[in-house]
Amino acid sequence: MRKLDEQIAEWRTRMAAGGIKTPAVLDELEGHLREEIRARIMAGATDEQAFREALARLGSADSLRNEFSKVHDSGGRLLTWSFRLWLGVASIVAIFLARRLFDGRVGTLLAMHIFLVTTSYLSAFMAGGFAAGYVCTQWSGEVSSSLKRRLSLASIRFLDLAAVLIVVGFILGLLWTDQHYGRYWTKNVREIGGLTGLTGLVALAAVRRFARLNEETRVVLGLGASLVVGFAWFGMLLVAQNRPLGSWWPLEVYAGIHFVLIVLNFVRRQRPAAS
Amino acid sequence: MIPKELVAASAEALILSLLSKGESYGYAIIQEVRARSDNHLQWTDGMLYPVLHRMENNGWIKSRWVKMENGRKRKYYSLKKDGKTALDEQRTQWLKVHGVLTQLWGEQYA
Repeated sequence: MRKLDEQIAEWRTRMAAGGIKTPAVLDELEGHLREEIRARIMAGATDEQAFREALARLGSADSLRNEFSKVHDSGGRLLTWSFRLWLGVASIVAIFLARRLFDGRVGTLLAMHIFLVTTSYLSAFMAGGFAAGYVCTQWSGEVSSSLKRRLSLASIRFLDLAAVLIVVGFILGLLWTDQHYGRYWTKNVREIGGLTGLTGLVALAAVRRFARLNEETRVVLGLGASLVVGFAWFGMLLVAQNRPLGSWWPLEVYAGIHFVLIVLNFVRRQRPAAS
Repeated sequence: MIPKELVAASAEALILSLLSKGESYGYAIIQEVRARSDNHLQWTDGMLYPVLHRMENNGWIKSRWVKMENGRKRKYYSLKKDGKTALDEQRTQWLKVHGVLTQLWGEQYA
């Protein structure tokens, strides 16, 4: 048994040298190897035979590395880079607010409220962006199903993030309003915008959480998130500035693009696959 | 023996179907598939794990490490809600393929 332990330790070293370096992956593969060896020994094989045969069944480091590299394909990197982009933009917002905080132009509560609501809206726009990317891939026959899955997954992850951030941000906003105006709600147009965003994002996140939706239907939620936030943010700004209805066309174009994408998403599903 | 291309194509559907019956781990999944197919369906054992990891990244399954009586750890996988949806989709697709083949072979040998 001691010899077997040494052989397994050598095997781990060879696997690590061959590119399988993650300890958790090696632990899992080692567990498998040990079970296979034990089964073979119980079936009558010698330790040496059992080790050799179990190793052959498990596969070489090269073949395993090739298969594991597919796990972290372009779709996986997409999620990582999108989160880094989110962090980058969130950091810029945080630095901007920190400067105003140190200048005494905003208090801590208001700065945190602005940060959370802004990053929530950013998350919702990213959810919409990934959903739009997914619809575009539906119309391109040369995209891997893995990339499509990751786009759909990224969209719902950012939708969930948007919902959580806006809930906390909205509560902080209510507390700040209470501190400054003696009541939680002043019917301000920005508050109504926030409430619209909160209601929409939480409703979409709840649908995603409790309904069993397929990939295509799920991306509609991401498009819905960016649509809701578009109206909650820019729509309410237009209302706040008393802009006449004729000057609302950018928002109408924005909504139109979303509806076209939603229609394209479902139209594509009914098209026969290209040969 | 079933060719490796077909084994690879059916891997996700097999894993989702097995996990829909309850939590399991890599070695047990391979053994069960082997037993249920009378040894006709065989993976190169190590190839199962990248598939499991990819399915976990897809949000279909989740995993947890469990400490065994011998002190070693074992990684168990279970189905998530999105995995159930994926299983429904894959079941529909495989049944369609099965239906077409059954129909064609029925005509051929009628």
